Amino acid sequence: MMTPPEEFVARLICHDQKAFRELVIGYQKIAYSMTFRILCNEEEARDAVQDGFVKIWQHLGAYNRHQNLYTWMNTIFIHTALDKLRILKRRNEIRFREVISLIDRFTVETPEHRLENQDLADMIHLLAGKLPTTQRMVFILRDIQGLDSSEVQQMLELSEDQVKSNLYHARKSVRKILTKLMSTERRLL
Amino acid sequence: MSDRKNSGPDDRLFRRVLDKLAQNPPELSDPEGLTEEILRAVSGTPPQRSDRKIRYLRPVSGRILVLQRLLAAASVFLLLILGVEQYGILSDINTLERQSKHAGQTIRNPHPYERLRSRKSGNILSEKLTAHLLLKTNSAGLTHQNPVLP
Repeated sequence: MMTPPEEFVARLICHDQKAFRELVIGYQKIAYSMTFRILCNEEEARDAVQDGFVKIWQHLGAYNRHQNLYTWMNTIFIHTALDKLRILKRRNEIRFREVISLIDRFTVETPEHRLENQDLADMIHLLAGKLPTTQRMVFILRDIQGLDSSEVQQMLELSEDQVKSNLYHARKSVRKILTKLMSTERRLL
Repeated sequence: MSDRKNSGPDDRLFRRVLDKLAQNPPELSDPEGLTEEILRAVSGTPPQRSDRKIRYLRPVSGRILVLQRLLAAASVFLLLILGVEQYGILSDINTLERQSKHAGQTIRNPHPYERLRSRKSGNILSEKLTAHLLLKTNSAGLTHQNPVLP
């Protein structure tokens, strides 16, 4: 996403409610998609977006204008979601039959087919749920959310090498999980 | 995702699943409601001073976590060592106390004079002492009496 105009940022820093409303309307969907992919839970993701915006409002005075506003905001959303993830109760495991039908829905060759939020949450949880937190975050932000490596480095306070190695290990684990699921499915058919 | 190798069918499956996940953002239900909730929450929250910065203590970094665990393990280990050492010292003190109590009942600490007297008569020091006592008795004008030696 592009950097917002200077005048808009100045209004935000002065705690202009109208400008903040515009920011919320324009960015809440992106923030929600990010927190949802981290938390795999609709209600928790919604709460994380709300808490994140409140933190942004509270700390707008501390925002450094040399930094990209959206990167700064994403950092707040990510850490808010991570705090929630730590206290979130363990998710119920998905049953094997549901896993098979879930993979079918994902591998079907119809791009126009809209996937349900629950399917997305289940698939992310299935693939990345057991990864260590850093690997999981790097994988979600880089490969699913599609953020730049430099942005991920800033948001997670990691070096370039750390991002690369975490992404490499995460992809390897995810591939292994998918291969295992597919081989089990093939054996059953 | 340029660093992903494309080789086998598993890689194609991996890419397809990832593309589906990336191209299908979750649907936000009732966005207007969420906007209103956020603005309501914000209106009741005063902005904080600009010198206060958000400080995150690297919650996702493994380094601090490893350090925390190492320190926790080290402290538990030190506590165990302290316990073992304390137990050893206490048992030693008890043994010594028991021994000294027993010794106090059986061994009397004799007076140095008695100790000297108890030595054999051939002992030079004992002879010297006898001579000294004799001399002392004579000079005092008392009747000569040989000290009884054992």
